[in-house]
Amino acid sequence: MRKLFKSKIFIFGLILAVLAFGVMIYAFVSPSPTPISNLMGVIVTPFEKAVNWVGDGVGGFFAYFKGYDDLEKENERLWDRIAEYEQMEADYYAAISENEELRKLAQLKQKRSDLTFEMCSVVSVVTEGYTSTFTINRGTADGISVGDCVMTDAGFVGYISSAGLKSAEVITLVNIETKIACLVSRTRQAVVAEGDFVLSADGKLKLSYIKNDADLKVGDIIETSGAGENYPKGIIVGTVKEIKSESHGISQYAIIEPSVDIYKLTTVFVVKDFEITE
Amino acid sequence: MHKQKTGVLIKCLVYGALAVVLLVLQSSRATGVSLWTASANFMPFLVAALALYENPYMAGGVGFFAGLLLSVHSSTIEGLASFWLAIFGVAYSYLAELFFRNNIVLSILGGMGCLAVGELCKYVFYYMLVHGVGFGAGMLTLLGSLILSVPFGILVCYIVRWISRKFSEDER
Repeated sequence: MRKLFKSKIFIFGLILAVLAFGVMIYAFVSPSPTPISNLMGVIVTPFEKAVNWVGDGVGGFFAYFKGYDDLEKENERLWDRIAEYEQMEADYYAAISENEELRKLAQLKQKRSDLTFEMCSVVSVVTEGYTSTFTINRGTADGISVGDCVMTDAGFVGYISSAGLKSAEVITLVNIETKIACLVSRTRQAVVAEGDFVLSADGKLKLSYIKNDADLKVGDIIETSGAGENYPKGIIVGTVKEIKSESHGISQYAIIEPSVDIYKLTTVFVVKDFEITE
Repeated sequence: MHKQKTGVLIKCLVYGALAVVLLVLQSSRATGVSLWTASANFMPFLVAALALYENPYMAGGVGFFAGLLLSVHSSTIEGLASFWLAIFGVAYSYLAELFFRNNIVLSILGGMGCLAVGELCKYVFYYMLVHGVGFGAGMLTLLGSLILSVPFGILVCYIVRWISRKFSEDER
């Protein structure tokens, strides 16, 4: 044991221990950083910078590929979300449109409590020459029958010409086959609104059988009279735009602009039933 | 004689540079890793390998220098790691000269032992007594340190053995 304490190795170890203690005490009493730690930092820092530079380069290289895969997946995910949002947007606008139509239906029901309505969507439109018809998405299964009046909150549209189980065809008021018994709202004068080959191209119809001395002015509102009990009374048909004499000179006729733009219809109401009022 | 002294000087520089490289690898932003709040420490393996393949003076001296390097990025007081690694290097080398054969397994085990004891002391005298850290968390940190340090530490032992043998061949 004595030999150990006298050996050079022990003395060397003791010297190192004393040195280490000296460093500890110096570090304890001196402000940080000490000259020794500064020196170590000077030795180490350049190597650290080099390693970090290499590491960042290698990491960046592999991150490019990983980043590309991640970007591809993210891109796919975002496209799916865009499609989802586009669908939601379409549903939103459809809901707004339906809400608006339902609001009109509610107002109409309130205004015309004598009428029983069925709300329908226009699924196809045919306007070839003098034929002006469209198809709706309701039929006999929904209580619709041939001859039923079709309208919107703005006014008269037409009538049901044929009805299947889940669809029906509507002849519009500008169709050449249409004849509607009407009244001039202002004077309560009875007139007949009918389709005309020439006028139907412009979306207008003709008011016939007007006496030469009849009290009719441009701007007069024309409504259904309910005569014949085919259609309810009081539904706006259109406005007088022009008054002209017939070729034979005995009577005159007027050109009516419908209150409804039949070429922009998306939703209509079919009057399934109505109360006949005097 | 002069050539021998030059050889020893070069060896010291080589082992010193190796210590710097090991410190940079274990603590730089690009290569440093952590596990359960523990980080890698390759210096005990360096000192243990030097203790077996070189001599107590080399092991003690490089251990002292490695301890100073460790304090660069550590909150531990300067000199403490130097004290521990230097004493371990001298003592382990002395015991190796008396009882062991130079053996890679013993150098690895020596490194693991040095690391474990050092971490245990750090836990007991600092984390447990000062901060009241629980035994479980402390042992988890010790385990993390071993897991991170041992794989590369084994490589360090092999590197030291290679350097030592290279210089021995050159001397012959």
